[in-house]
Amino acid sequence: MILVMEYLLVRGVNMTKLLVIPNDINNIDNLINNGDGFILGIDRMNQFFSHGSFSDLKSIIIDLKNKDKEIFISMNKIMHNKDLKELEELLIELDKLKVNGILYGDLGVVSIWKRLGLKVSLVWDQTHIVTNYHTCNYWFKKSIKLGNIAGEVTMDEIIDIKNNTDMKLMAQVFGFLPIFSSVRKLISNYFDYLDKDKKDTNYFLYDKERKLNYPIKEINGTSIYSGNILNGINEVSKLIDNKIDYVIVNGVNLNDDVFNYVADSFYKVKTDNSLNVNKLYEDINNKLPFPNDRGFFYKQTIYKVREHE
Amino acid sequence: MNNISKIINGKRVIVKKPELLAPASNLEKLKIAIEYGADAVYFGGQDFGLRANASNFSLEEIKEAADYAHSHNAKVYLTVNIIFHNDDVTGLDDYLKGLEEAGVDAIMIADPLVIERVKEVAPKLGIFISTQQSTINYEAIKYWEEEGAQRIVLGRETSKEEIKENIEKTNIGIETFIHGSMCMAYSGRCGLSNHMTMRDSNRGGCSQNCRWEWPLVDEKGNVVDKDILFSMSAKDLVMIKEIPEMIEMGICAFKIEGRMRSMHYIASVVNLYRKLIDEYCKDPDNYKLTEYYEKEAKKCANRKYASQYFNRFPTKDEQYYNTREEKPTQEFIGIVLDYKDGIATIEQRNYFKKGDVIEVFGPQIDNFEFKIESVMDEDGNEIDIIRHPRQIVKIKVPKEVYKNNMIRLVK
Repeated sequence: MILVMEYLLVRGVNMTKLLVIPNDINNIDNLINNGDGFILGIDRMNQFFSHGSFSDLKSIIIDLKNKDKEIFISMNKIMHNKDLKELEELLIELDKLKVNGILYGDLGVVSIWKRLGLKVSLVWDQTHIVTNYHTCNYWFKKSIKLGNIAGEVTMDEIIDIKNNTDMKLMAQVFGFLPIFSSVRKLISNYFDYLDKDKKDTNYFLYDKERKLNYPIKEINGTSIYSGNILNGINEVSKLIDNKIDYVIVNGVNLNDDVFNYVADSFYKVKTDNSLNVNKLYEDINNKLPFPNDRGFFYKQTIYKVREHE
Repeated sequence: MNNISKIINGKRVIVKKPELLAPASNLEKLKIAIEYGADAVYFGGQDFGLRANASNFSLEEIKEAADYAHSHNAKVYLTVNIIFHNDDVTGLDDYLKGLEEAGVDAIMIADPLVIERVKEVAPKLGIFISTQQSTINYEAIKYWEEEGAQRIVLGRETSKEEIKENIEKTNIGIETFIHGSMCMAYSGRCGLSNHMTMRDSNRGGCSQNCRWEWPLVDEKGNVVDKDILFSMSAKDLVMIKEIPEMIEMGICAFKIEGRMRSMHYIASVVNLYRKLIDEYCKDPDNYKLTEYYEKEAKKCANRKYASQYFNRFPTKDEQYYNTREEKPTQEFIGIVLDYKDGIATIEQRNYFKKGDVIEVFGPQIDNFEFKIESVMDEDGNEIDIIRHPRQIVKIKVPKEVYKNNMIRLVK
């Protein structure tokens, strides 16, 4: 109770929760105090990251829930028919475990969830597609109560979405942004074409013009990530002030040292509005192995190209 | 026996013919597509569509297109397939009402908010789910079916076994692509354009960054290969060999990709598939794919092609690693305006000259080649070189030709 009072005094009435996507499941003990909850990926079900099989994760999920952490499971890849049996079994298991939500990218998840009458919450997470409040309201009417906003949406748009929907919202504030997903094995295919052996290393697409390296990985197909790391630590307060329900700090592609510092810093900012955020912003940037930016918070993409030419 | 075919007069014939669906970016191309045998055409209006750089149709043109198509027993489908941001919705209701009044048969949508709006303001419009939703599996198809959609444009990443299973386990029309270029990403799940060029790929601004070539580097910064760079370019889709199997599976519509393509391309591709589908459906048990179709497919492709996901999971062989291998399509030199007594009146589209060997093709004729022995201008004067854009000339032809037949340069 005393802790709760202290918290309210420091931050005010702050309903926003911070969710962490661990860089590595083995690092979760170091991250436990840096988030209100976690988003975990299950093998074969996520397009961008995996923290293990369901049997690997089950005891971790139970343990984290016992520690009052919210647990969301990301199963946001596009599903093929061969995935559906396993998907259905997992949905039933996760429903029994009473996880806080399941992030979906494929509407097959919604169909199965409806057919089975599951209680577990679903989170609309179609990567680049969660972009407006009208469609949030559409899904809300279908009993989908949460949405994970696309990385390509501006801060003004996020606030506008929040002001016009009852759907609870998630927004990523830190980490690489996913920018491409394909079911093809594009790295393996390239090495096959060259008749060379692919090494056990991380690969990047080098963009000479922008001087950026885009991480590229083969997880359930091929995924590419942004060349800049989103560092939205300055934006956390604004998202809290506008009652965004969850902010996400994503550790994918980062090592323990860097990510533990990042997660700790973000959680401090989330809980203490007296901190010097600009200094933390600079400190984080100095530690990051990649260039950083503020994503699309203040950049609007061009819609009709002709009008701009 | 399934309901795809029936025995008529002792011979099996296909009775459930798939719809051949062609792209168009203006009225001229739309009319050509229908004349060459498309059962339906799809195109974008000036708003809410994913080809912001195509010329696209005004509402008046959409009405004219629908009237023309319906008078030729064809249908028109309009793309309303952007992923909306908050403010993009302005004007959507009026636009949908306008489409319904213009006689559009169905719209292709990617954002489900449009379904709600259609039900409320333009209930006569059919709803097709665009490939931008990357609908791959039968459970996802069932979702859209329950939402009242009439058709799913299946994600391109489906094998023949998956297509078959999807058709068997659902009660909704399944449309697939049969020809054209491919997105390398799951459609709708690519932000390369947004992140690299600030153009929103899901709102019509795709700058096709997946076609770029990249040095692939390891974590130490070593380039994997400096001569052959990493590429994500897919070979074009061409399904001439697979069409019989696809017809027997009960796919309801075959889609040709290419709203930005030329009139010649549309005519060539529609002509190719129209003849192939009709020939198979007439006598499926005695059908054989002739060399003609393979040759025709090569004439309208400027890139190498493959059947992509249909027969096997794509490997390096379904990709392109050196864009310099691209070649121009066979040159389109003119279109027939009229024919009388062995003389064709032609409108020039590209340079040609007396002595060239040319090929004529069209929906009413079998292709034929001949050498140009004489060319006359509109006043009847003999000329040797036809170099002026849209110049009208008369050429002696060895066989009867028809208005809108097209002419390619052979050599």
